[in-house]
Amino acid sequence: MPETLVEKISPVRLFDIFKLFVMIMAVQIGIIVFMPLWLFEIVRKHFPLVVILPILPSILIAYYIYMKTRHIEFSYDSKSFSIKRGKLTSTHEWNKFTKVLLVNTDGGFLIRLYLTEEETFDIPVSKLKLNPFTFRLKVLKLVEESKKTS
Amino acid sequence: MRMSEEFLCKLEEELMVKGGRWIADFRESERNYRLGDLTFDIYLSGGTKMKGFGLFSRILSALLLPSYSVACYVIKVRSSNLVSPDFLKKLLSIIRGNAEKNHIKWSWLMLIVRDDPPSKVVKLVENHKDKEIGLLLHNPDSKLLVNSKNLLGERMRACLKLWLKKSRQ
Repeated sequence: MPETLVEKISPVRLFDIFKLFVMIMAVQIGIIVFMPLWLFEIVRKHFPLVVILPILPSILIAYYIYMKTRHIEFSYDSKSFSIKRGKLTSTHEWNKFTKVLLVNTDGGFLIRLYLTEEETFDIPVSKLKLNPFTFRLKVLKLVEESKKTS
Repeated sequence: MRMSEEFLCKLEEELMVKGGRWIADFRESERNYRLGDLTFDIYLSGGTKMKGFGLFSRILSALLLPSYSVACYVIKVRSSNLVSPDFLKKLLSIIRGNAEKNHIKWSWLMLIVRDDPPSKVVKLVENHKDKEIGLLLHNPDSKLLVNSKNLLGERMRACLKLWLKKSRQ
C-alpha cells in the first residue's frame, strides 16, 4: 500500500471477530460432544475448565484469521485510493472512473465505481464504518476534481 | 456540506433505508443522473421484492409481492412557479421513455422547491392521473408535501409522513 496516501480508514469490525470466535468455539465444543466415551470420561473430570480454557485461544485465533483474511484498510488522497483486504491490495486512480453509484446490498452499502460499463470496482463503505451517503458525495467530488486536474 | 446537499442525503437515506422500504427496495442510487437534456439530482432504482433477514419474510416476499422494477427521480426546481404543465409534461415523458427502455413498472417523481407553491401548481400536482408515475412536490423549509392523488403518490406520502413529522420537531 503506498505510504503517500493521506487519509487512512481501517476500523476493526468486532462483530466479525465475534462471529469467527463463535465458529471456533462451536468447533471445539463439537469435538467435546462427539469425542469417544473413554476420552469423555477423562475430560468430564475437568468441567467446566475444558470449556472455559479454549476461550482465550479462540479469541486470538479469531483475531488472527480476521486480520489475515477479512480486515479492510482503505486509504486515499486527491489522486488515488488503495484497498487492502487481507493480503490483497488494489490501487486505483480516481480519474479512471466514469460513474459513481451507491448500492445497497445484503452485506451493507457499497460505492460502485465504473471503469467501463461492465468493469466495476466496489468500496465497501458500510464495512469501513463510513456514512455511505456523505462519503459517496466525497467520492463524487474526488472523481470530478481528479478529472479536471489530469 | 451545503444545506440542500444535506437534505438530499437525508431524503436518499429515508428512501433507501427507512420509510421508503415500505413501498420498494431501492438498491441503487445515482447522483446528477442525466436523462435527455435534464439532470436529476437523485435517481434511485430497485424493485418491489424485499429481502428481509428472516426466512419467513423471504417466503412472504416471494409469494405475495409482485416483482416490478421501480425508480424514483428527485429534481430540485429553483422556484415552484417554474412548475408548469409543459414542464411537467416534459419531465413525465422523459420518465416514461426511461421506464419503457429499462422495463420500469412504477416511477416516482419528486420535485424539491424552496418556496410554497401557488394553488394552481398544487392542483396541477394533485390532479396528475398517470397510474404508473407518482408525483410529489416538497418544500424542505416549510415541510410542505403535495402529492398526486393516485395510488403511488398516496403511498409515497404515507411512507414519508413519519420522516416529515420527525423533521418538523
